[in-house]
Amino acid sequence: MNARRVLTTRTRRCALLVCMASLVMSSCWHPAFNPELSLTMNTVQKMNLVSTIRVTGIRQSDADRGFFVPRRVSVPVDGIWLAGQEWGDIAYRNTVPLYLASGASSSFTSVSPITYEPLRPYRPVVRASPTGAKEALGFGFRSAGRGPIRLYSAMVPDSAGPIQRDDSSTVVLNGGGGVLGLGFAPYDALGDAGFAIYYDDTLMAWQALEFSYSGGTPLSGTGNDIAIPPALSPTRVGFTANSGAYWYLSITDADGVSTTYRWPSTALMTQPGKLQGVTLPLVAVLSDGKLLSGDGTTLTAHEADGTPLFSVLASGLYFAHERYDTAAGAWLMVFCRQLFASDGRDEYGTLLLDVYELPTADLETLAD
Amino acid sequence: MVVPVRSLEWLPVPHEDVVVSAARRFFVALACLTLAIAKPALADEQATTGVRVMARAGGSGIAADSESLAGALAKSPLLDAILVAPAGLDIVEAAARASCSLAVDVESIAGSPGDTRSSWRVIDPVSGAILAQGVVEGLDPTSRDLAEFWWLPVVKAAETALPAVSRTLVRVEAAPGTLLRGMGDETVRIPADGYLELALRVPGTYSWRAVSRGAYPQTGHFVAMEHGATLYVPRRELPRYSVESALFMGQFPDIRASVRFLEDYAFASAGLTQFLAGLYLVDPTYELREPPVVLSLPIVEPGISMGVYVLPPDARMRPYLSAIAFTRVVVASGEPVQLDPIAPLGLGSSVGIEWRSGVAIGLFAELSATLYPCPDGALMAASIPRDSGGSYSYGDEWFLQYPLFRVGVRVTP
Repeated sequence: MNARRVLTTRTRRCALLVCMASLVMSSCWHPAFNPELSLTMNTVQKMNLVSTIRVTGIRQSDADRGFFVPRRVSVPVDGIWLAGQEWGDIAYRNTVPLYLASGASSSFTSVSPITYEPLRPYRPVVRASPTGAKEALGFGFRSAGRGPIRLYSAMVPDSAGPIQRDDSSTVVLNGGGGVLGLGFAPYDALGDAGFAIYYDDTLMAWQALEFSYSGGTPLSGTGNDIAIPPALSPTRVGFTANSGAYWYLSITDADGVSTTYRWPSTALMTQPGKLQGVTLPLVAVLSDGKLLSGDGTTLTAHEADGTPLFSVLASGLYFAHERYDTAAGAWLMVFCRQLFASDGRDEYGTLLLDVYELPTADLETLAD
Repeated sequence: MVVPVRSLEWLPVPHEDVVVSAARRFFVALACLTLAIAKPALADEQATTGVRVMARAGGSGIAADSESLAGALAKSPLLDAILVAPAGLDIVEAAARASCSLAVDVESIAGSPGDTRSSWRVIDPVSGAILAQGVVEGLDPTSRDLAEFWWLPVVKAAETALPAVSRTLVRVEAAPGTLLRGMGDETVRIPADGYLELALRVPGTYSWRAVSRGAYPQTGHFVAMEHGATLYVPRRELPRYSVESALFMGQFPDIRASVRFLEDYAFASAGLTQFLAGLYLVDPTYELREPPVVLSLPIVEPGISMGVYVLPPDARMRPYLSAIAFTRVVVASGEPVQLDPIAPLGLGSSVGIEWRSGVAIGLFAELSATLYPCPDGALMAASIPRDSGGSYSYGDEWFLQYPLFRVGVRVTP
């Protein structure tokens, strides 16, 4: 065996040892790159970043099981955090509303919480008060009448404090039947309207309920009979809203397939049409009648009849509400991006909440 | 003071601790000083070339002790190695075989009771010429006498004879401008015609090192046994470029090409680290019951780097330092190719070591850290899945990831 062959063999052995050692040492490392998150920057960079909220010292499991409702003001530096208390596979078996702003997590979680039980293990529907007050309206909790519950902070001026509960609403979902959909949509410059489609087992009929929400506790609601497509088998409460001209209902079945139905507002007892162009869960009916659908990664805009306009990546981004800018005389869509940044050493990290706005009329600029 | 003595066969030979009286110590020091002042070139020359002496002390009586003679010769600072001639072999022949510069032959006779006569010769092993000879006689010496003074005239004669041993011209052929060290007492430069003749002691063994611009340093051992011997210094051109492939974090293959300059002490590289395919061996989790073995992320990182080696090109292990700047390019399907909006740029520094396992191939390992200037370092942290390994720190406008490593193969054609 000559020297050249000896060196080659030695080199091969050493290379093999080095490769094996490197495999042992690493093999579970991940670069600091998330393609959905990076490409979502193309979407949020077209919006206006109005507020950045950072909550430190939060456990990742707590950050993953909760969502933020920013206050409905031009620069929302705080809001209400809806924390889910998990029970088995049910992420929101109980829901705890907490006041949240930038700061240490412990300063917000140290207050005595109150809890709510959702009707079903779904993410509660909560809308910030149109007045900009530190309050919100939650929907579909286990309470008398299953109606909306006012969540508010009793502390004034701005400061951390326990969120209070007022379930004295006169808006009720009569009976004990199932609920197909809940939702909010802009009504006018002063407030929203709340919607519900549910089964009233006292009337033995499906009802489409609408009430106004201008802040505080909603006081009135109007219900109408509505014809529901047969053999619906939703796994959770879906989204419903009325744009004025149409009622929409978006549900997801056991196979994960989302279907959106639409009724003319004046003909609720006719069988609805199925919007073929909406394949993701509906998340918003905008003030101009356009629709938004999304699954937490992609956001799609539609015409009122469901025709897709465009889709953009929206990892961690969700629609919060529309806010009417009185000075500009225009509606603004408000989105919130919710992320968790680990500190790299344990399960704790920082909750990143960024609030973005985009004029409703400029929705299609997201597609540029 | 311990006096090392070695036989021709390099078998361990018992040595004696020798205690020298104050007077003898002074005499030896004076002799050494005299030699140092009178013949500085000789001292330097001998120290450089390694003077070996073959010694034998035969005959009868206590002075017929080769080891005591060798011990005395070993005390001389001008004589580097003393060999005891094996029995039955002519000392001149034995000295020539062992590349000795001198042979010292002593024949002692224990005459009338109480007297000893030691006849000594200092011989040139190459020519056989007797360079010096004499007699030491007196009362029978004791072991201590042998150690302290009996052999002093012989030692001095050997030292005096060193300049008289054969010197010959050795021809050295190398690329013009080559600096050669070890063939003589000075570093020499090969002139434009590519050769140089040096007067060196023969026989002799010379450890040399040659440094030539644009070539690997060369080293070797030259045994000069005859007049007119020629040393050919080989020349192997330094590599001008290299190609390497490595596993970033032991998972993601990358590739780089380098230009090497400044006598292969520096390099500039361009390369690509990719995350389109790489090993990803993680344990199943509640959220991910069957994690993939191969991780694919639509991002590549082209970059340039520069670095410097710490040791010469002929070193077996060469540490080096390097710095890199790279961009992060998103190549997602269905999306235009673009710089990563979260962190488009990365800056890294690394320390590495290269082991040249073959003529043109080397293995290397690097340890590094990377800094990402970015609008919001928290977004980079949010981009890392839970329990993904590695450490990092971040601030409002930066993200630092560490420690990172690469292991790979570097080929220099």
